[in-house]
Amino acid sequence: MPRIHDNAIVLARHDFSETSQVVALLTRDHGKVRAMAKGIKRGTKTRFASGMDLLDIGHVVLIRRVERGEALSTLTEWKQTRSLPALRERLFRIHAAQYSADVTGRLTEEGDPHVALYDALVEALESLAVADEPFQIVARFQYALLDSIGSLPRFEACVHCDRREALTHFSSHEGGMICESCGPRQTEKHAVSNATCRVLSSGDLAAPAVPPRAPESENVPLPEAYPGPFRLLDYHISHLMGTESVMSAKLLSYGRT
Amino acid sequence: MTTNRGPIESLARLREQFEKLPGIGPRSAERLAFHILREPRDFAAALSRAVLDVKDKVKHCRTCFNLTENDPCSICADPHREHGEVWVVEQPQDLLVLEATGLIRGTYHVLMGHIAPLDGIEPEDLTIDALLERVRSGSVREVVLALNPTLDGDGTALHIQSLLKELDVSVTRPSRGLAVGSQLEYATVSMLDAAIRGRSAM
Repeated sequence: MPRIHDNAIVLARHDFSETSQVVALLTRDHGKVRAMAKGIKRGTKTRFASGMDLLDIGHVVLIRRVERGEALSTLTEWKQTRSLPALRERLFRIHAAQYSADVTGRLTEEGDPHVALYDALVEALESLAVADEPFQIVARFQYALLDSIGSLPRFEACVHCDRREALTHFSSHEGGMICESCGPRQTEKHAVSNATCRVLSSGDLAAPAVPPRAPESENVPLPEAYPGPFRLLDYHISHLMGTESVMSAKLLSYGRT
Repeated sequence: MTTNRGPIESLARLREQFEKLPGIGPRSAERLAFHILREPRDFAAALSRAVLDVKDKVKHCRTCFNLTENDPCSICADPHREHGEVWVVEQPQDLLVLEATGLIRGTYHVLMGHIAPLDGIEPEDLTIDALLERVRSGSVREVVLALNPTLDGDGTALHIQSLLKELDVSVTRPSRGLAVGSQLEYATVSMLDAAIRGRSAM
């Protein structure tokens, strides 16, 4: 039976019995893995170093029963390697992290590794832990997610006529921006502001992250460009998932809390 | 469609009922069923009475939502309790654990769960509104959010804290960190982080 050693982020966990849980992990080198964590809630098994929480980052040892064709691996060791207590200090940080875990879990296939996606999720969680607004960080993660799974839309020009100006709408079905001339012919479309269009076509969301800095005042109004790209990428992600994440409305309802 | 339950229908039905209990598999269910068969009739009668009594008599206290046979529960009705201090817990089991310490002189409020949007559990599914009503009544001066230190527990605590912000009440949480009797070697990064940040003078 192949034994896997890897770094992992906990995407979801569900009780299986009094002491055991089924966990969904995003591993760095082996993609999404579902595993049975026997006795993990007992806390006395030192190999699990007592407990495993949603969005914990750590090192796992898994046994994959590939030859039996079983989808559920067995978690034999877990050690948390990174602690982000500040992620839990503000509700919007928790909701942004839960949104990221939700869409990752739903848009990735088991056993299909995306190293860049794993790194992007770790970066997003670390950034959220010190952030005063979630949208820029989550939009960067949405961009990395779509890029990793090969569903990144075309933002710099109209998908119909290649025009680079007057991009007024976005079509998830067509996979990118639509100009004002082609817009009326498109039934499935989402209006896009100039500011959102500028951020998405500039490539800023793909560039290395600038460490987020908390504004001095709690009452600084958010630039329109921040929630805009999040909303648009969420629209596309919802289209790909076939349903909206329960966390997106919660995240948008905060703005600044 | 009928299922083949074997030659002893009543025994099979009992085994099936036991199998529905948490942590009980087919072998354990069979063992329990045969155990009851071997015991005197009085034992079976007492067991069935106890099961029905739990269903018929146990209810939630209207004040704190703890499980009780009398409403209000013995804790809420106790005049020697500090009614201005309310310990908020997720489940009745958490209340029992805190009460067993013998250190809490206040009262409790059982939320009946925690907010978990990804599992479809929203604030309105819990007893948060009743907690706010208790605080608005004016008798509460401190709310202690003794929720599980998980991501969902922390999210629930932050949600309640945001609702209580408008009201004239102090909101606290129990400290967190290393478990007494544990060893540093086996502590998680989160436990150590909390213990280091929350260290106190000796």
